[in-house]
Amino acid sequence: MTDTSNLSFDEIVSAFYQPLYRFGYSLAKNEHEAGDLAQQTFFIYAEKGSSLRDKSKVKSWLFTTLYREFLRRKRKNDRMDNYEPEMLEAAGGTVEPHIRRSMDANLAVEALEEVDEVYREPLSLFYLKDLSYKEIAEVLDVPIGTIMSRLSRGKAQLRDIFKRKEAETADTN
Amino acid sequence: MERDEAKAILELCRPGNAEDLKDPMIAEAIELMESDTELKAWFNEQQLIDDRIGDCYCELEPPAELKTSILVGMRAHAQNTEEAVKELEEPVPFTTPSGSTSQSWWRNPWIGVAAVFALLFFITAVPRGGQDTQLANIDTAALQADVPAMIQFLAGEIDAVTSRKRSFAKKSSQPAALQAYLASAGSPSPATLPAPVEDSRSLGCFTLDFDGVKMSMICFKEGKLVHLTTVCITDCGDLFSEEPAIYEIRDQAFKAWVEGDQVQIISVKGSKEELSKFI
Repeated sequence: MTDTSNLSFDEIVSAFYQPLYRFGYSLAKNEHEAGDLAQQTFFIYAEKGSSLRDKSKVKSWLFTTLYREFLRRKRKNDRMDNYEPEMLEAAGGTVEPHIRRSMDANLAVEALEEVDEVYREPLSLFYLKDLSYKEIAEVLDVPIGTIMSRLSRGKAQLRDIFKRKEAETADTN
Repeated sequence: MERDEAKAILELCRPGNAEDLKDPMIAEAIELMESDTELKAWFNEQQLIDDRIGDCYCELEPPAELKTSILVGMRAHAQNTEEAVKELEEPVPFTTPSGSTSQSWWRNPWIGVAAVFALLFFITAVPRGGQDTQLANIDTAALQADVPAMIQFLAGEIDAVTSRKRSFAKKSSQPAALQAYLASAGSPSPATLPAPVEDSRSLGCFTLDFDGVKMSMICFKEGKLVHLTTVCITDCGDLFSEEPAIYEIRDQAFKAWVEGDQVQIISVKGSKEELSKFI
């Protein structure tokens, strides 16, 4: 895990744009939305990051910000439901054709999509390997005990789904 | 520590993750595992599959241009912010209509003649005892429907904006720049932006004068046009309270409430139902 205390803005972008994109993708299931969430997160960091006193918290701050931004957009999209067709179109939200994804990445993403929704976010952050379980609890704003049990149950589900999918892929090849 | 408890804790440990291994709870479970071969076998099996899932997940590559796009976007934003600040700091010059000379208007005798004619026209054409000019715009049907005169006035002004008869005093997509502009111009500037527009892109703002009451309006584009009007509470008497009041006039829906020492009025085109869907 990266020590962020002395990193410049460019170095912070370099260190975290990939995991943030992956987390954004697991939430939005949309390549453009994931990229936009990552970009918006850094934008917010550039605007408000100076008020962050403990620079070692940059990493969990970025993930928390992306997650909150996703929730904010989701709430907004829910409000727009049946509102104006062009706004709904702009809001996106559909799963895209799997461009730019390797077979293995597809396997992981599809397996994660089959896991119960409540486990998806902690699992996604867990397998990104950037955050400790305590930081995951902080980002998702749930107690550590809840994260522990969600990870445990979610991992059991994910392993089963992953093994099945891997076997299916092997059969078709 | 029991084996089941150790298993639950070891679930939190990722293959090769040094920080996980440093966690005291995980370290204790790993210590127990060293003396429990069954637990160790279980853990090794879990780690293999976790490692495989983690590797697959991390193969999800962002678009090649994402990093560049983030950095370029940030630089453009930083530059734009600097320019907006400079623009705010610069005094706005008075513009001279094209074709005019630098001679002061009061030295032009024709202006004096025109002023006399205008005065004569005003005395003969405008009926005595009439309402103030702003009230002349008020929809009489709405007056009967208990819509405050201030709201009726705003409805007229919004019509003027949407029909492009009124232009913005300041244009910016950043609401903060407009708030700063209004504050610097001594006009009511919203201390906080209400939730429906707090993250929206703004178009511009202007100030209004309703029978001596200073008001400001910021226009947002949130799918459709949304207008936020701010007035100082001391200028409104008991007209509004913290409990939001809803009004409908000229195909515009308004919601007005007291926010701190200001009155905020938000409006969208459409009926009350449209407003409740949106706000």
